[in-house]
Amino acid sequence: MNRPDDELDNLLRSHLSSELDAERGAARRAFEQQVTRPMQRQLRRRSWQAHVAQFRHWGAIGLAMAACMTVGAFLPSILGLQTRATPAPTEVAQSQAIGSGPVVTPQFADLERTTVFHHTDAGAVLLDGGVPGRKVLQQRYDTLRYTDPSTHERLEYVIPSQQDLFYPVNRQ
Amino acid sequence: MNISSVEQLVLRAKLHDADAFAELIQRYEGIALSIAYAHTRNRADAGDLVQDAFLRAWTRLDSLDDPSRFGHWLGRMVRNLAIDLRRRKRPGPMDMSIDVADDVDEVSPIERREQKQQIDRALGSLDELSRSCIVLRYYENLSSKEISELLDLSPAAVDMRLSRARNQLKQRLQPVMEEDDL
Repeated sequence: MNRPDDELDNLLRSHLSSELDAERGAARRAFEQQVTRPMQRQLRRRSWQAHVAQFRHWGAIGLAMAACMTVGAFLPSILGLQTRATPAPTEVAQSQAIGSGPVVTPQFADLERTTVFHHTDAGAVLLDGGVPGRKVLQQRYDTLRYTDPSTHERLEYVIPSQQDLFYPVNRQ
Repeated sequence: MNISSVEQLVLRAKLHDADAFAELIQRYEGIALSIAYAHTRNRADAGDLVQDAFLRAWTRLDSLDDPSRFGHWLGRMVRNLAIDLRRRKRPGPMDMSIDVADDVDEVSPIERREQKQQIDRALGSLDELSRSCIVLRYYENLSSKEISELLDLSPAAVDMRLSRARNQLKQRLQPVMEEDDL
């Protein structure tokens, strides 16, 4: 390349640089201002709403359990049934000796079991190999209920668990 | 430029990943500015137009079928916006502003302004496609192949346009280059 070519190259480079360098970065700033920040605010709001919903959900389960136990405890007296005091070990031994009645033991056949799933879309992700997919939060609630046939007391256990599931998105 | 990672960024952006799109802006802003400036010949208009083009691209990413053609797709969007702008805007005086930092050397502001006007006029004498080739080559240092992919031309056609444009600019800017030699 000869000298006039070099001069022309330098002239054009410095002219274009002085013209356009000042504009660099403006597009990204505009994008962040108009898209990224509103999206982040929306995500934070959604996260907070999810927390509130979760609190309400667990609160409702707790209240339901407390209500069941309370009703179970007071149901016999409400219905006018006579509750039997728990016998002392010596009394049990005596009663068994004279054969006055059987000792009630819980039967597993009385167990009632239910499983409930909740699925929440947790957004877009890239799976292995760059395949686009979605992440789904799976919440599982296993509930075990037992009603004591002699006292009609109800016991309820809720076992919560959760896991993340990933599904590829078929865009065809 | 790593094509596969651009494809990945486009795929992520299509799934509304704003960070991925911000990275695409970072990579393609210079190219978009070059094309916009080649059409508007005004840096402020070029800057505004590029901002609009990226915001529009974000909302229309679903229409981009081939992620590897993001640059070409964006370039076409910038050109269309520039044409719309030209229709809306009556031709006015060119941007004659001078950066304060430019005036620190021995060249006076008046001389610099004259030099800038001469270069503007010389660039303005080129057709839009040739001017785009020149700006992409000298501002973004793109190869003929990269320019050809952005502008829907063959690499040979880009080389030919660059060669003719350079000869034309050399003739028109001869006085400026001679002044610089003095």
